[in-house]
Amino acid sequence: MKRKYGLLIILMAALLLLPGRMATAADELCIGGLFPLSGPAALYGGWCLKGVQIAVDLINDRGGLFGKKLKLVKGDATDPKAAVTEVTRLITYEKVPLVIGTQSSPRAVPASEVANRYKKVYWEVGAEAERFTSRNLAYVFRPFCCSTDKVKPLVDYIKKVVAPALKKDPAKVRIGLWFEHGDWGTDTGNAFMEYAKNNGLKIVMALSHDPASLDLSSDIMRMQSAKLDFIFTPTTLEALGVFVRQLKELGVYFPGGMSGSGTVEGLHKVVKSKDVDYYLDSEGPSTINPNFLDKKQRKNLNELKHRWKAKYKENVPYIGYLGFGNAMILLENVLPRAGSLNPEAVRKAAVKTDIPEGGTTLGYGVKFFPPGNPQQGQNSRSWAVLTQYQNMKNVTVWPKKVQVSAPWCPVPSWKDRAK
Amino acid sequence: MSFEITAQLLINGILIGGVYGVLSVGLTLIFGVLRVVNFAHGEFIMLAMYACYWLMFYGVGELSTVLLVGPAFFLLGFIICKYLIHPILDDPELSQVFTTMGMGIVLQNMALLFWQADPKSVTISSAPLKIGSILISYPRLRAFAITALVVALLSIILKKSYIGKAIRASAQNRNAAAMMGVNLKQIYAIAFGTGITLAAVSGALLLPIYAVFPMIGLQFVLICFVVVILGGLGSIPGALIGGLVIGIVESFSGFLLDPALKSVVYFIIFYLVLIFRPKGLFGNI
Repeated sequence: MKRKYGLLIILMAALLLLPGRMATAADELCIGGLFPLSGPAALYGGWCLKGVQIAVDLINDRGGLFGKKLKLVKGDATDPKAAVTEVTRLITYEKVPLVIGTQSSPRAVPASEVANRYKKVYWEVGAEAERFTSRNLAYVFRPFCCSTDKVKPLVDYIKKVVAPALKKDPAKVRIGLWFEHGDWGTDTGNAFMEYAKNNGLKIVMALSHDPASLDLSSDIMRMQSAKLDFIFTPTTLEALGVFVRQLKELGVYFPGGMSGSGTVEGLHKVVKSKDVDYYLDSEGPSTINPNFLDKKQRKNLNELKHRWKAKYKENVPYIGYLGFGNAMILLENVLPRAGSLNPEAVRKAAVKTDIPEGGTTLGYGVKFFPPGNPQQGQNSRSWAVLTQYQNMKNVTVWPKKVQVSAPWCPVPSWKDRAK
Repeated sequence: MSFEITAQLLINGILIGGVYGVLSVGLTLIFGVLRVVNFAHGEFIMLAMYACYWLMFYGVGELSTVLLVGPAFFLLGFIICKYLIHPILDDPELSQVFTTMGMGIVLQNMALLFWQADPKSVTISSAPLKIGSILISYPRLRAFAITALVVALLSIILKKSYIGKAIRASAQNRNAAAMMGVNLKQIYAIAFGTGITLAAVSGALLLPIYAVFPMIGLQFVLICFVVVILGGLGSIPGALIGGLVIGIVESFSGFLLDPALKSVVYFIIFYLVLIFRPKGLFGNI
């Protein structure tokens, strides 16, 4: 017993004597990267982080910032509580002056509160919740679009493409909403219902669901009974995989089409057949017509595609474009103008950002709503696009100014598609 | 509600009930014999799905994967029981919970490390069978049929074979079984291995229906516990019947009430069974 306690005391003393975190190299500038890398959101968080890392590597290969190399210090936001713990660790222990994150709204919202409290800039690259930038937080910025931005091209598409294809007045198109019951799905669903209603469209069915459900047959039979022309499905990729398979098994289809909200990318890997064709996705611009971008951004885009393929042996997923494109706005435009990583200098430089359309890899311009505005920190120039699976490839189809291919509408029945 | 809709809902409920049954039989066997709740059950199903995915990726046929994965997972279960489960059999239940939960977390994160979070799927034909106006999913029908066969075979083995009798005796009264010459540790290892084999078979049957990713085990495990407790802890037929009950209730309540409420309805039934028949529909524990 005495020996056991002796060993314990020696172990504790050894732990106390261990050095703290490894000191940062003199030629390095550390910035925080907070993403869900384990747990249920690991897929999207991982992709986003990879995009951000490629942006950091690209800047370093071009000489770094202020004569030093950038280093991304990672934090794992497994869930909202871990996001708070990790951002606190990044700021207080790793001493990062700013944080890039987090792709997931339930994690981004509490983590950004913490960063703002410490007066460190929080640069959000992928979370969409409206409330993220309606809290008057001076150090929080989102170059990416919010839920309302995401639903605008969808409503436009229904009015200008779906209604004529079905030979119906837009107000008579029967639209359904099937959303995952968490924060993101509910937020996106509410934004869609409000915007659609304000634009004269009719939502005849709104169903929430658990994205972990193993059987969606009763949901699909409800949709069939409602005789829907079009359905919006903000839910997870895994749930969409089950949804598409069971739609085919039950012979149900929607002649005007179906659309997800940023999670349809990768559906071809889950369903692995042309059953994914016709599926739309309302997402931040990623695969838009490159001619829309200026020369510098076309070069950045090619770098991303080339580096991603070389490193990960696959094409860049949509979320990878988001991570890269939104991080590059900070690293290539904001930080050089700030002159240092001093949070106050970065904040002031971010507020003064003024990039025209075509001046970012994602196509949209950047100008943040100023301090005092109810949407302080939100990019007023962000917009979303619609992509569609065509021959198992996800291509931008709407709006016309950035489309790569014309949309496929109406959607034939499963029997006709098999012919 | 028309006859066609009612019939379609019933078929859908039976088929998903079969899926729930196949997920749960392994769990109920392990608890019935060892009195250990295997919180890593979902992760073993996930591992089996990955194993089948990689076998099919390299050209092994769909049904052949079951024959390969089954014995491999039996061996895995046997070894895990010997080195991880045996030492904690007489420990407080909380220790057992933490051990199996810890095992689940390790397996989940190992899968994330080796295979990333991207869902992986196999290409299968999902054209439904059609009987009149009723559509039946072929992969789900096959999963149901094979589950029923496995449950029948297992019931026969448990009833007729010496090992089956030894397993049942150990489940009924371990001390009496030991006094009758049953090597308890060996029986526990066989039962645990069999339970993991059943998890592996369910993984093989589910891969054509669901894409696999490291966290999918969490989606399976909650419904497994509901089915096992409803059907009766330790009852193999109870797991299948419990699965069918949950599946049919879910199918009808999702359509008639709201899909968001389907789990509420079956949890209400679950609570009623716990109140009025705590052993479950067919359980003896």
